[in-house]
Amino acid sequence: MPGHHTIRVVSQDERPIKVDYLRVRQADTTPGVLESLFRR
Amino acid sequence: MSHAFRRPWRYMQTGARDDRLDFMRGYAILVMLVNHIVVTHSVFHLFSGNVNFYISAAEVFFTTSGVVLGMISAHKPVYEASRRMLKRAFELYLVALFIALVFALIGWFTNFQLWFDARETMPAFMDHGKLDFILTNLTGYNLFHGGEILFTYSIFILFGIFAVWAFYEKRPWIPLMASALIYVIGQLNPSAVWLPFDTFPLAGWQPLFIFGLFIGYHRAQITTFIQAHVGQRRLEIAVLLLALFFILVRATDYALMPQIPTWYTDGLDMYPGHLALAILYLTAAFVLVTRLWKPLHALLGWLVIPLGRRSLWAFTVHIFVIVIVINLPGFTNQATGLAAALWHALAIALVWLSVKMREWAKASLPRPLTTRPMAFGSFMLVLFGVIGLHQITNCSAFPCPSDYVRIDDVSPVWRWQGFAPVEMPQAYGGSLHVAQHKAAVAEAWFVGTAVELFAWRGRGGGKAEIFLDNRSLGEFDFSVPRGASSAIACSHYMT
Repeated sequence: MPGHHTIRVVSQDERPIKVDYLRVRQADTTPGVLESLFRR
Repeated sequence: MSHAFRRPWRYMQTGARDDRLDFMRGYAILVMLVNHIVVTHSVFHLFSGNVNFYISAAEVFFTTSGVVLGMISAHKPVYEASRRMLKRAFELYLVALFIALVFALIGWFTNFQLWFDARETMPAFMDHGKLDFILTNLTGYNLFHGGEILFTYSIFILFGIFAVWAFYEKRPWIPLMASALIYVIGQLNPSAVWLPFDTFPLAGWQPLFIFGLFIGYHRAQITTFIQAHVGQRRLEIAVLLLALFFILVRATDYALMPQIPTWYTDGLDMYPGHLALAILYLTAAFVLVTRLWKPLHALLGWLVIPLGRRSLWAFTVHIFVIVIVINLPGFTNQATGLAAALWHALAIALVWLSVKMREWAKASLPRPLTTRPMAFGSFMLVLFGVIGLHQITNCSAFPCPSDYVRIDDVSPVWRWQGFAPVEMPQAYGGSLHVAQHKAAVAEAWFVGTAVELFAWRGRGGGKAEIFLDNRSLGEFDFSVPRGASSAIACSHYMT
């Protein structure tokens, strides 16, 4: 699908990894004022 | 028969300070130091509890800090009390920044082992450049290595200023109700009041501070009320008996009350049972310290009271001492016997000596920057304005459904290999997918310009490498030394 991204989590040892959820900012959103500053 | 003769061991206040609170706070510093320098077989765990008891140092700290601030505020004009609290909040903020920045630099430019490893916790933020890193620290979004704990505390104090004004106006129910409301919201919908510096989630932990502030401010009235309507002796005995009962419950590995461990499963933290037990044991400790003051003072007073009197200093130095001790040649978490005890004794000695040296040097230190109230007030207003704006623009403090969408782990966009739904999801506040072996894979696709992965972070959590579009973002550690919660494990902006 065009514009889609994939995130992958790969566990590195036997200790527990518990994945809860993703928060995704939608593509048509304008970044906030400070966030624009934060981004190079 | 005189009062002192009938109760020969009882505490009698002689100066302006209540030494019992300094004693409890100093003891909490010792507990913290022992628990934070992990030496599994150290005999010092006999008094520290090793985070296996109902409460630990943090509960003592937040509550006694509230009590002390309340007691001081009650005896000062309200403007003066507010000014002092503002000053204290600012001091804490500066120290929080100092800790985070110093250890970030140490983490990035040296090979020292840290308490929280900067190389593992920083990359997601460092991706956005130095300006990002500085701003996210200034705004409290990205403090670490203990700095975030002080930042939480400085926010408690800012709330406390409003509470003190309400106490002064004889409307104590306003801050108490507000505190209870925030607590309840935090229990029912944690994300609604979630903040990024969440080692001690603000909504869950603030009742201890506000409760302490209330007790401290109204100390005289509360004492009079108890003596008139309940009976101090009767109340003390009831508290001690109840505390003893729950110690028996713990000693029998919860055989009498098997539901208690579920009060501690999640660091969305401070479930009502945990909060109730914290208040019980803080009260019981205060009663014991009062009743057994003379022997306790003779045995431990020289050690713990100086630490309690200079608790911010002792807390800050303890973070440095952790890093010093765990990097010394020969240090091992698995030390046993005398060697194990010596590592902890060394750490305690270093913090104690630093406090003594500070007391000795205090007279010659320059007055801190923090003595100009108007400059402070203005700076704090601007600062917290910036924090508020930053939190809102990052959609972290407040839910922003128009900006961000949540993709839960039950969504069909996820593909799981070696992960399975967690058992007892109700203990975690909802479903999670768990893997307990190497090379398990969780993969999801999405469309968007920024992504945050939320995962359970707690004691014993493992490590995972996270890839975005087949490019590694690095290895991330899901373990935290204390508490547990669903928190951002990794965040990334697509540019």
